[in-house]
Amino acid sequence: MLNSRAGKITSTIATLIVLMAVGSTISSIRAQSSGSIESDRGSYSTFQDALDASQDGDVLTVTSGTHTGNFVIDKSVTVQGVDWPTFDGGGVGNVFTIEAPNVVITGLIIQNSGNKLNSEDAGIEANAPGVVIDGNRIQNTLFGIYLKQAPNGDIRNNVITGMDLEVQRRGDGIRVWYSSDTVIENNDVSLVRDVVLWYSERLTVRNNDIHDGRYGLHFMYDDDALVENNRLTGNSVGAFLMYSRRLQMIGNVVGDNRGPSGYGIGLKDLDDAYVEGNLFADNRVGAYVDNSPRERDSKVEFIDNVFVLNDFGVRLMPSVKRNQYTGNSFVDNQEQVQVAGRGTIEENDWAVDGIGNYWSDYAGFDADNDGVGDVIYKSEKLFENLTDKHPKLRLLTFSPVTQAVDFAAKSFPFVRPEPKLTDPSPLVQPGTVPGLLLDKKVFAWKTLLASLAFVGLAGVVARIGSTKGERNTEQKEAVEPVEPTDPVGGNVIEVIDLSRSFGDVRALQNLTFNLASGEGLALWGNNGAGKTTAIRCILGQVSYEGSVSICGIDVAAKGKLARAKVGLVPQEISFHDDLTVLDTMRLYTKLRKSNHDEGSALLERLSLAPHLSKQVRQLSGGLRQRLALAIALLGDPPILLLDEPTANLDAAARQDFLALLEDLKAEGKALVFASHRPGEVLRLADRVLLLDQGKLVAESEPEDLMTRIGALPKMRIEVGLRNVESAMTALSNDKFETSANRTGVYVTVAPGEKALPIKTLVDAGIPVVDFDLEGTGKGDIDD
Amino acid sequence: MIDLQTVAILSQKEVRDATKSRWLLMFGVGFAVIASALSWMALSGLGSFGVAGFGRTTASMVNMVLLIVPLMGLTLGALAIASERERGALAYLMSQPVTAFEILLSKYLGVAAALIAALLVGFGISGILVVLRGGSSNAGDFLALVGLTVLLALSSLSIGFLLSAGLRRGATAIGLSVFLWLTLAFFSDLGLMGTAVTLDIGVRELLFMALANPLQVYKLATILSIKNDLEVLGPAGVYAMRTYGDALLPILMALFVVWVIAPLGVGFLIFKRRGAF
Repeated sequence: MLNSRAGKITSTIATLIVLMAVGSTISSIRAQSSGSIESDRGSYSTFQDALDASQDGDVLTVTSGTHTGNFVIDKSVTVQGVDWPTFDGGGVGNVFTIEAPNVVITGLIIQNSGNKLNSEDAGIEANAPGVVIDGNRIQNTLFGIYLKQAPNGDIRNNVITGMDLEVQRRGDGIRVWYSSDTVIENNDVSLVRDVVLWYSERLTVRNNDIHDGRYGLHFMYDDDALVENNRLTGNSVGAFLMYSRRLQMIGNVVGDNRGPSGYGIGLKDLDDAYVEGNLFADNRVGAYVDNSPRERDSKVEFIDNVFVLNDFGVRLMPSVKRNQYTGNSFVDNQEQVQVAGRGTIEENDWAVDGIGNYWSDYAGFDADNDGVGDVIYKSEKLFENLTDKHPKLRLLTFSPVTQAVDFAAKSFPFVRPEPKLTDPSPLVQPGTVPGLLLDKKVFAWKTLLASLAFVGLAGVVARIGSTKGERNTEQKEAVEPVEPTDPVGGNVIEVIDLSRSFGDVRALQNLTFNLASGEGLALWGNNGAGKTTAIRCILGQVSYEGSVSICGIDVAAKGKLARAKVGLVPQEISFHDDLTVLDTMRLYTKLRKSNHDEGSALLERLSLAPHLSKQVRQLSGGLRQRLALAIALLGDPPILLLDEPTANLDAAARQDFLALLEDLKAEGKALVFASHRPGEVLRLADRVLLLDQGKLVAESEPEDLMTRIGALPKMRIEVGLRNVESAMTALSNDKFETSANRTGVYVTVAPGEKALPIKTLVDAGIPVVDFDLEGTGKGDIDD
Repeated sequence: MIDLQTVAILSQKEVRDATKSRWLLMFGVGFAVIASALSWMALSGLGSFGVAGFGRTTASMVNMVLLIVPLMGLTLGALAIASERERGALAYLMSQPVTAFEILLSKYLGVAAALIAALLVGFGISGILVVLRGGSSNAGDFLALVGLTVLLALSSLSIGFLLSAGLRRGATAIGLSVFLWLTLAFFSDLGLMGTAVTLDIGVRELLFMALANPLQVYKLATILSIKNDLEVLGPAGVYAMRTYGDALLPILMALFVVWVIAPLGVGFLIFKRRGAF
């Protein structure tokens, strides 16, 4: 128990000691001063001492140093700073509170007031008339300068920067409250909530730069105010002017005010307001007018202002009347004049004494060069009309449909809306506001660099696409050579039950065959028999049922790998006709992962070397097929697929091409080809697949097939009329199929056996006068 | 597995073909002339007010971009496959050791590179004009406009490829692409206007319906990038800002990416199924 009481006493004493220590520290902080203070009464070490000793009319000169505390000036003194002495409120209350009239404060840094909105902590609070606050830097204070019932004040040349707080928690940069005849001039005010000017008459606000706040200026009940040559930029609202008479706003720059309401200026319940020569640029709304004027015999005048690139140049509430607009320029505002809601604005004047306004969307003319358009201006855009009535449609702003709708309205009068406003005397040249600019002009070198880079990039792309670009990426070595052929069971192609349908049409049905290296396989049949479909299936270009494997590779599963082992020569090849032979070869050399030497060798072998610089479109049919064959041979594939390869060639070219193919076959290439020409089949094929309507009708030797279809050629041998019968007997004895023809006989012969019937006749002693080889009607043979 | 070397080779060929295309030439020149003229006119008379920055010009260019760039992307995309299929060139290409995906990807990359190059020329020239004319340009706005326009071009190109993947005649592809362009640029917005007024739908629904159109996605993203809010678009814009706040721009960009990838993906499936014929 005793211990417990003793503990409490000890604890209490300790607490008292701590509190005394803290109090002593605070008081020492609040009393701190440095620098020197000179007054008419002498020199002082602290500002408070100097202030205490001063008399009305004294000048206190404070040279540099920091003076911490909350100072109350209750004598009519001048406090002037030399070398920017700092007065620091220590984060509590007002830094200066002026209770005496005609106090002058100049040349000071005033900072760190309290931050309580309910006590309205300020850098300077004046409660007496005639104060002059000139050339100070007021920073990090909740309110900057607060005149409370302090008329005839003069606030000029100050730089006022508020606290870095959310805008709702900031105070006002300047607040003038029941303080008429105040002049606010040449101040720079930023990062504050508002500049509030209420219940004060005959205010002059001139040459101030108020930016990055909420309400640049907020007037209430301020008759006869003059707002002149100020810059109000980057605020939520430039100036909101309310419940006042005869307010003049002249020559101000009001720009980039884009907060939630975003008015350049807002006029509410104003009478006889006069707005002249201002620049309203890039605001959400240039000027908003609501119930102004409110009295019957008053008006609102807008004269020679420029509204440029605002979302809305002027927004009028439907009830607004007796506004006069003359000499203003409405330049490229998204909507020049908006009616906020349903109703009209027709009781306002858009021209005064024959002078209207400039409208950048005016489409009239000025034939008599008097500066006034000869056709009245009507604001009658249908889309604007729609969005005024249905604001949600503004979502479609900037869309092409807006122009379409307006165009339709112009073209079809029955959908044209009533004009929103009519200017009977539109000006044809925009006005100017000399000296007023929203932004300083700065040379946009970054944009210039970006633009140049864009053009350069485009040049790079063009170069990539050029032939030169291709050369640069030429492949010197085969990157991924085709895998060596290793046919399963000696077959390079195995096709099992291959079927392909197009809807209900069966293009191929259960086709089965195989092919070994060095073998030739012809696909024979009429058009639509399935030859080309079979080739496409083998290449994996179309889906199919059944199985196709190339060199043991399943085409359905690994089509790309399988295609590397196949060279295709189509019937009609579609190259890139503007490429040269050389460039075409280069492209496919890279694509087939071959190399330059092989490509060159193939061009040489196929006699294309003299044509390297020719464009493909300049080649004959034969040379194009040779080029196709050269490409097909890139990478040395074991299989060549040929789809009617000589169909478009003349006889000589055909012979050359077939000779080439025979050589390739002899070298071990497997050939699969579709053909209508018996001669081709007989020369190149070891086997023939006869297809009919997608079905394999027969598989046979070429000669058998030719015989079966009556496609073998006939030889006409001239023996003279009297020898015809004996010749037919001799030939029949040697198993030749014969028929008589006046003075000769027809003999059906197989390829490679054309000399045999001649020999038979000669052996039989029958003279051969002449012979000739004829086609069969199924196609030419060896022509 | 994609063979990048093959893709590079074929893309280069596509760039070459595209840069020789009269369509691209026509569109590219048209775009450059209109963009330059628009920039020039947008600056005319505004310099004396100190508000002739490129950011302001940008806003006026959005409308032009919405009109021209989708037409460029759709037609070039629609021609990319169908015309080669018609000529038989695609069949020959597909007989080579390449996959359908490699061909489609190469074509897309090649045509996209050529299309973007044409746009960059247009923007580059207009940008140079603006700067030399004394416009106080904001490089960030300029880059945002260009970047988003490239995305719009890519999404239009993807939709064009989707059309092209299933067609075998160039004329059909052109016809369909023009019809689709009219739909995206005009008919859908007209329908939206009619629906909004007659059915009195809310701003939320209106916003969602609008965002089904990539042109509207572009418009919102561009305005948001440059102006930092969408209040200029009325209640629906305010709704979008207040509902999605800082997430709005990423959402719009994600939508854009979907509009680039999804049509191309579906186009690939059709192309793979249809092949060269």
